[in-house]
Amino acid sequence: MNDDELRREYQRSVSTRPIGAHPDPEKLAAMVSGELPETERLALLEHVLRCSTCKPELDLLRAASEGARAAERHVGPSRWMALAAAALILVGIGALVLRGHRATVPVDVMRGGHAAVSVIEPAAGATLASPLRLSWHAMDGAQSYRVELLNAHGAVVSAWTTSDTTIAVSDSVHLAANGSYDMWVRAMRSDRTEVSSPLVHFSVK
Amino acid sequence: MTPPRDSISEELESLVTRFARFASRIAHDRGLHHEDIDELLQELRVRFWRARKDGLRDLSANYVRRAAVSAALDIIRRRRADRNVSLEETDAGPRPLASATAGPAELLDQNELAQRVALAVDALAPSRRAAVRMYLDGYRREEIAGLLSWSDAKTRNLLYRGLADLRAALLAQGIGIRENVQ
Repeated sequence: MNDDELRREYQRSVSTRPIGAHPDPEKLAAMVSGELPETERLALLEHVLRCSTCKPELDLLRAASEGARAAERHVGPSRWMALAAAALILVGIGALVLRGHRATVPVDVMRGGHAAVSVIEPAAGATLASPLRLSWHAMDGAQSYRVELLNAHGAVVSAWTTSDTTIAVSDSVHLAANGSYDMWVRAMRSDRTEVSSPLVHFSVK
Repeated sequence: MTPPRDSISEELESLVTRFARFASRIAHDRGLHHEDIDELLQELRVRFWRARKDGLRDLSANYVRRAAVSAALDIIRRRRADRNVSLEETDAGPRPLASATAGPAELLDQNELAQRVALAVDALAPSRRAAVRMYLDGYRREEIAGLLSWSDAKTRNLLYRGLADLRAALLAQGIGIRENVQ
C-alpha cells in the first residue's frame, strides 16, 4: 500500500475509534508549548489524533502559537533602522579586523559566535537572482539551525536543518519570478530552546 | 466587545496582520474554518486594545504569545461549554466506514481493511506510532517535529521506521501484496 492508500484507510478508521475523556484545553496548550514530558505528549496525542473534538482545538492552539511566534519576530521600521546601523558598524569593524589579520591567519568570519541569530544574506529588501545563497552569523551555543523560506502567503516553500551557517538553494526549489519571499533562521540549543532571527523580506527577479 | 479600530496603533495592526498571515497558513493546512481564525484575531485585538488601555506600552514577545494562546483557550472553553460533548459523541454513534455506493461484500472488505490498518497502527511502538498517526493524518514532517519537540533527524527516523513496521505488519496479513506481480 502506498502512503495515500494508507492515509485513506487510516482516516476512514479513525472516525469510528473509541475515544476516552477529553484532556483539559490547558494540557493541549502545554503540549503545543513543548512544556510536557515526552511520555505525556505521546499519551495525549493518542487521544487527540483520534478525537474529532480535540484535534481542531489542538490545531487552533497551534495556529495561535505559530502566529504569535511569527508576529513577535516583527521588527518595526525605527528599530530596524537602528539594527541596520549597528550591523553596518559591526561589518565595518569586522572588515578592518579582517584586513589586519588576513596576511597571517585564515579567518572563518561565519564562526564569530553571536548572542543572537542575524541573517547576512539576503539583505532585507533585496531583489535577487537565482541561485540564492542564504547565510547568517553563527550563534553562541547553537547546535543546529532551522532555516525556513516562506512565500508571500506565509507558506513554507522550503526548509533546511543544518549545523552550517550557509545554504545554497538548489534549483529544485522553485521560486516564482518577481516573487516576494521571507526567510528566517532559528538556532536550536542543546536544551531545546531556540532563538530566531527576524524575518527577512526579499524578492526574486 | 469590539474595540474601535482607531485605538489600535499601526504597529499593533501590523503585529495582528503578521499573526494572521501565519495563523491562517496553519488553519488552511489543517482544514480549520476561516471563522476560527477571524474569531481568534478578534479576541487578540481585544486583548491588545485592553493592554494598551491599561497602560502597557510595550507588547513584548512573551506577552503576544501568552495573549494568543489565552485567546485560543477562551474560544475552546466557550465552545466546550456550548455543547455537551460526551452526550453528543455517545448519541452520534460510529460513522459509516465505507462508501454509500458499495455493495454488501465490498462494504465488508472496506470496513475490514480500515480496521486492520487501524489495529496495525495501534500495535506500533509509542513514539513511532505518534509520528505515523500524525503523518497519516496529513501533518508535515516539520509539524510533527515541532509538536513532539523532536529534531528533524529523529522525526524522520521514527516516521520511516514506523511506516516500515506498519507495512510489514499489513504484509504479514496479506495486505499490500500486489497481484499479477511475480
